[in-house]
Amino acid sequence: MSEQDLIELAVSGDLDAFNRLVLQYQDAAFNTAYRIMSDPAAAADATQEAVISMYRKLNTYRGGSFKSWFLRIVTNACYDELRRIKRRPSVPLEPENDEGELVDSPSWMEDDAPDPDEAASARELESAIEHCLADLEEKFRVVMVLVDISGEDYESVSAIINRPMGTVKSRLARARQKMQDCLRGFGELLPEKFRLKDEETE
Amino acid sequence: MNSRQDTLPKRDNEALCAYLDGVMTGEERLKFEKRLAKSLRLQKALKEYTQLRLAVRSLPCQPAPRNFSLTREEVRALKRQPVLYPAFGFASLAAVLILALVFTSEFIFKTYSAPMAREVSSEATLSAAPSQENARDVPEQPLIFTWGGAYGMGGGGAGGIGGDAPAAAYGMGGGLSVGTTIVGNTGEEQAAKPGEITAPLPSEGAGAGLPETPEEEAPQAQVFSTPMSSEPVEPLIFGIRESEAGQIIASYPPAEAKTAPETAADTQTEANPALVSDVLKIGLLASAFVLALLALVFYLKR
Repeated sequence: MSEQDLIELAVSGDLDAFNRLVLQYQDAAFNTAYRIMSDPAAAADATQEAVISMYRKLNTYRGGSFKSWFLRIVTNACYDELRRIKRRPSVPLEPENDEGELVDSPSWMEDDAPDPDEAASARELESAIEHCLADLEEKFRVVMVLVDISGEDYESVSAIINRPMGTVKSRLARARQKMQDCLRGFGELLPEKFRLKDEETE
Repeated sequence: MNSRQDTLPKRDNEALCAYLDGVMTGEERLKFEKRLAKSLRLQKALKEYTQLRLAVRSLPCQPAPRNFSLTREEVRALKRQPVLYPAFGFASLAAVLILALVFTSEFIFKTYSAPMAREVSSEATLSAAPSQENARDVPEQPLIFTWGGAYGMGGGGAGGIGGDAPAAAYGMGGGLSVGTTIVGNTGEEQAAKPGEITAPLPSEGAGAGLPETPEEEAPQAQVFSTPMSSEPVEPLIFGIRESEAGQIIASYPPAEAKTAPETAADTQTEANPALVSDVLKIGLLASAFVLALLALVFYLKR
């Protein structure tokens, strides 16, 4: 059954068809939410809210990319969730160091099993990118996640965030510049192939 | 490490991203590639951005930790919710509208009715004081009051102006003079001889001697005098008989005549009764408060 058929069935009230659509896109939705929220629990909440919202708004779907439409709902759910978190900040379940400061990457959450170098490097890179991504302003982070992680084109992102194309371009350029500046701070910690060296071109 | 001074200009940065993501038109792309070939800085930035994009895209996709599909029970619950949820969702809007209505109605209606009030006020002022307008046409005439009898209390001094020397002399004497000198500025002698009882002079009497064109000549003084009685006169304290002490003899403006603004305000109140009554206002405020409270509860529960 094609996606369009599923959509039509879902709009007509077929819950199974709707759930098949959810299953098809829930990984993309959760991944986008996770990269925007930087917190798996909050991302799961946002994704669930997005699914519920999608069920209610299904009759407003007017064609086009269903994934983009769903990601738009997910992004809005993330904005709502971020606002809610700002209203009710929670205490993170992270241990404190000897000086009473929160440990950013708690060692007790890490896998104690020895990892090969490649995996360790990849994890370092992932950690650095996640850190820099989380440090970005919300508006820049959303655009970067949608373009570079979710693989949406500029036009779709423009529709998702409900801003003109020029704003998308501008925000993406700023986001990349900020990310680049941030990753430079990690320097030697990054795997060599991802190290942003100036010497190579100077 | 790169420093901030290597940061690309905003325009170049955006163009580089657009080039990297392939969203440039053919012409834009050719133009940018020409610039790129000449600029080492752009080439370096392009390489860095390519690495960055690769790095970001290399992030592992986080699989959904659970199934987000909806069960039939959840759907049933969702279908029940819209009955109340949207209603209270609009509660905040309703509360704001009601509050706006209550608090702006007075302002709006007063603002629009203010010119009317001013008109009424001015009309009332005009009608209330026509004599003032008329009085402007006639040159002001000094009023001279003479208090009757032997107890005349001055005033004669002014009357002495223009009079002959003896009259002026008596006039200057003030209240103890018997009889009063009453002379206008017409130059005509109206001085009374000492001991002579001055007959009450109606105002017309003074005006009778005026020329028809009063502007050309100096205004003539109106003269008022109280008739002198031969009966024993009760002593006056500040011009008031002892028996009248403590009573209101006269007031200005007269008690029955309201001032112009008061009249205008009364007229406005009668013409424009309050559009939103106080009871209704209180009711609206109370309902707005309840709605706002509900909206707040629902908002926080989300």
